[in-house]
Amino acid sequence: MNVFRLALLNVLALRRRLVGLVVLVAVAGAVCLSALGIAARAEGSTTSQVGESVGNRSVTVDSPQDRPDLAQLTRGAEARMARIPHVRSVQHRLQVSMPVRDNPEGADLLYATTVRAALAPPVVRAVRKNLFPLRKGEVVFPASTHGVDLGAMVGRTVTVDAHRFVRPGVGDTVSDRVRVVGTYDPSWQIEGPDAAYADDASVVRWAAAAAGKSPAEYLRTSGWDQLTLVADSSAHVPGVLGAVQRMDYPAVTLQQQLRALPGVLELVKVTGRVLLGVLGLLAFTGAVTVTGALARQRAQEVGILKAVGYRSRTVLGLLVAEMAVAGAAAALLGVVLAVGVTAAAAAGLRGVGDVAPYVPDAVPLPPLPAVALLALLTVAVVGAGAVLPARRAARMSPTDAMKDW
Amino acid sequence: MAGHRGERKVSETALNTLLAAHAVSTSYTLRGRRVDVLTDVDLAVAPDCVTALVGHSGSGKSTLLHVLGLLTAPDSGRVELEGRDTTGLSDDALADLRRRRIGFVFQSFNLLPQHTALTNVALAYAGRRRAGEARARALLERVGLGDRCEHRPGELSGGEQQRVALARALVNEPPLLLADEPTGNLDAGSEAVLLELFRELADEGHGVLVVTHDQAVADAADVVHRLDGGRPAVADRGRSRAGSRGRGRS
Repeated sequence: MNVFRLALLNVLALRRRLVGLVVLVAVAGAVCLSALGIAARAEGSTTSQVGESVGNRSVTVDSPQDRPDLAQLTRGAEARMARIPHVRSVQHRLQVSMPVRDNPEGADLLYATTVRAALAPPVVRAVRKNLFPLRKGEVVFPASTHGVDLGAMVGRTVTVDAHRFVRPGVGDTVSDRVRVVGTYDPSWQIEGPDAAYADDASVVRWAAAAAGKSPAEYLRTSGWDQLTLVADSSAHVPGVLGAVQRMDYPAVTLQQQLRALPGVLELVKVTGRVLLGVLGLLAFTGAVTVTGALARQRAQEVGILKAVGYRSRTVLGLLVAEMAVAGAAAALLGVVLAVGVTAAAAAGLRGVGDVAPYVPDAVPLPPLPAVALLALLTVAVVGAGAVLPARRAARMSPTDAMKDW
Repeated sequence: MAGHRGERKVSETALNTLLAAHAVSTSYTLRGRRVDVLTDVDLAVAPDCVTALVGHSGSGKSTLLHVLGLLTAPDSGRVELEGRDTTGLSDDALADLRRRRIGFVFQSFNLLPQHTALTNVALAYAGRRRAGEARARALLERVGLGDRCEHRPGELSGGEQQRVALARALVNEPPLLLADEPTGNLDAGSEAVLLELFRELADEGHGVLVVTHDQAVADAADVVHRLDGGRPAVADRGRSRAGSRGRGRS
């Protein structure tokens, strides 16, 4: 009789004795898969959202306005910084006061600010999807400022003023009509509490007017308030920072403020792997224990098989194949359990506000190849766990084995 | 060492030996002392006849059967199966000989309790599955258990289990059948059925060696070998055994 068929028949016949092993390995596998799935999600999220986020890849350069001996953040400086190796983009910021003349809600002074793609504000209300980049003559207000709710202004057109400097003691006002196309979360105060985002050209025009310059002259002489250099990876941030500082510009990075971040991210990865190792060890130990016990219980069976002419390696193959079949059943059951566990975990996590965006899938299992690999690994681990006790049993002389019944 | 039914059988045996033991000795060590189990045992089993191996408990009958069945290697001496010396053969070669040339029947049946009678018989088959199942079914029919193929050992009587074991022993059509106290756990009716099957097999050309301390079984044998304390007992060739019962084959 074919040894695999006999192994299958044995597993079916001995299913009650094997159920403990199958359940143990299935639960271990399910926990493993779930942990891997969720850890992969966490690792992916921490890598993409934190480790390799724009913020963690950014170098912020402030305008040395109080250092007239240094070059300002002009268009030329911006272009030079863009040529630093590993700089993916350079995003500028300019801010200028923007009195809102006909604001019925009462907030009359906001600060017109350019939008940096890397630090775009969280929009809470808008006239259209994808507000950014803003079109000419469009502004986004904070949803509230100084206790005044500006939400009702979305969709309205208002007049903003820019006080133009002519000569010391003399000036006039330049007015523009702008449309409020959205509001953003007022807790977003990276650009200050009263920032009103507007398109680059408008902000530059207003800033230039306030300085008594043309926009081109303004950008050539005064330049931007701040530049944000985004490196192509977080690993290149220190190099970019050094290059900027060698150009005599004051620069800082988020990485300098969050020195522990790389370690924490690594810890997340290592924890997932340690968990996987522990569970693998558990499955292996279970397989060795159960197979050893089964082999001892079935010593006479081994003796009978050898007496009727089964070779030692055939008996070994039979016992290992039985465990591999049990392992396959456990792997299958483990995947089914893991689907349930991860679906339940995902449902629970989606109820947690801050976590919800990072659990978009209904069943956050690892990718299919990883699931298949883990299932194969389960079969291999259980089979391997069976080898030693099975070899011991298979090597017994048939006479001794039958005596041990 | 042997008593024989007739001169013709003796001469056939001498000329046509299926299994032969030559000066076989085995021992084991217990608390530092060597205990001899078999000492210089010679024995021959011929085809076409039922040979009985008798002796008291502890006389070494079962050990000798295991040596003859290539389950245990002797300390010294040699075993020849169909004229081939088995000394020094690898475990795999011995396993192949056991599978194809020897059938075993044990006192406690030694069936696999988790499998049906059909699977128990077919699992020893050395060929393809379908052929094995067909052969197993035919053998179970032959031993009167055609309607019990799907029954597990626990669902069969002792006599039925022993007949399943006999069917398993015959599944590869081995020329030699070794039985260790095959009637030890059977009632008189089952014993008679089994002995009748042994006789049929011998008539078909199989060599049957039965270890027993059951006088009825010994009486049914064509040849009887005696063991006493692991040594061949003195043969009493012409005593009451010759022509004592039934089946004269001359």
